[in-house]
Amino acid sequence: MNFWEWISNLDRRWIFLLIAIVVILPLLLPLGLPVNVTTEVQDLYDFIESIPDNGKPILISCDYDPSVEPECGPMAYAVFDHCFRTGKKVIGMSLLPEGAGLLAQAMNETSRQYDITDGIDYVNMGLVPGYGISILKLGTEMHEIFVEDFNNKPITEIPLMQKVHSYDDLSLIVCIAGSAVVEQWVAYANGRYHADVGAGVTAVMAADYYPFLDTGQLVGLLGGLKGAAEYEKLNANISWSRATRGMDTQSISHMLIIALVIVGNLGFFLSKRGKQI
Amino acid sequence: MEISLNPGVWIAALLTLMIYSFLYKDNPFYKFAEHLLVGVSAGYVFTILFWNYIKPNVWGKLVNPDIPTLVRVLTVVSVLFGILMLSRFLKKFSWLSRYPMALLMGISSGAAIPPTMQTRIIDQMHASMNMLEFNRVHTYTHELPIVIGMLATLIYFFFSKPHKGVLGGGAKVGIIFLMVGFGASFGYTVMARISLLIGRCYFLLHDWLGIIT
Repeated sequence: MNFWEWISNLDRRWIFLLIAIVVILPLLLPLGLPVNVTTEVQDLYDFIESIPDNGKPILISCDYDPSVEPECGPMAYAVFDHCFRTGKKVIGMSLLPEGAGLLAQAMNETSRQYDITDGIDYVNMGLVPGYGISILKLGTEMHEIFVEDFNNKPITEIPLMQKVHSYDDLSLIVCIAGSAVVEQWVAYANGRYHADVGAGVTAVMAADYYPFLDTGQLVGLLGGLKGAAEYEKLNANISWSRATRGMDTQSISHMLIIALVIVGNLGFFLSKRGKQI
Repeated sequence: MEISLNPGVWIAALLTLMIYSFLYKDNPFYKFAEHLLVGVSAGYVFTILFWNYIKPNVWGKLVNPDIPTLVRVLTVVSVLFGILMLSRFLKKFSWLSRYPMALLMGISSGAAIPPTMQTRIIDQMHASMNMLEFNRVHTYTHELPIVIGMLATLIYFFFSKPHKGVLGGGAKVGIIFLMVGFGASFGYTVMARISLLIGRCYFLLHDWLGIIT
């Protein structure tokens, strides 16, 4: 057995071990590799910046579950923090049952840093099941969908919600999602009601949503942990820098994977099995 | 920082290690964590749905005297339709589930088809037709490749004529663009999977062991 045959038959657990090492080491010894901000992230940040203080609220829908929290969580924290720091009114909601708890966690932890009041400056409307149908209904009368907030307070007793009835009463919708629900926000909220929509999606989905940027169907897009790290850089609040901490690891592990793909292909083509093709 | 004394963090950390133990080989700890995840997820979703949706939207409406009678009647009808869905479990009455299913299919299709056509096809076509302004450098570097790629990929999926001559050349260019697309998706997928691993490792080193600040 020559080297290339040996590498082709290598037990994959050695690769798992290598990946674990390159993921853990940069977390322990950060390199501080630069994070460059891309246009689509800058656009979303600038759009939120351009909303006047005490203007129309921003609706942030945290449509992700714990399985994608490492990617979507840092986005949610960075966007909530940006909104709260700059005095924007925020309405939080989730279309996923599992997302309601994660939304509450992100809103509570970020709002705690500022002198803002629940019900006046921000409100967590909790779970809104129904996906597309609920998104459609929110465009006509939100009070029929938002019956109570996450703490079971009736909507009639929430000052922030008294002037909010449809998408016309919002300045922006931000959907942070780990599923194709973003497409429903684009189709119904933007397509049907012409509301401005921004999105934060997992890296797996990011490539699918770039076409919506050129058409103006999305005002900005955060793609995966990299998008979250870019937003954290713009937001510049050290308290929420989980994604930035992960970018060194991301870069080094990508280098390893590129090397493994090259070595794996060389191993295949230079081994007896590859030569038979 | 010091090691966490929070029992919740310890449970989460041990369950994480149990799940990752599958990478070495299948074992009872992994099976335990996997089954626990399924059970807890189902219980959590049911509880959240009940308290955040069924209670305010069904019970809340039925007992509230300010809600118009018509809305309350419609709520009862909706609940009955929902219960009919469960008739699938009884062989003799399973045909009853077809009524709510038909209603659901009809509403979903009606609500989904026009906006999806508009979002995914008409708006995209409109943007592709209007993006070319040949007096800008950006058109040649960014937009023209998109239009060429779109046309070539459409040619590749045109199966009514053999892929020979101009059609064959266009299809080959289409394959190249498809491969670039698949490569980009694969790259993003790698990034996503590594991100999830980073998230767990960060939790173990930061929240649990307190090694990193």
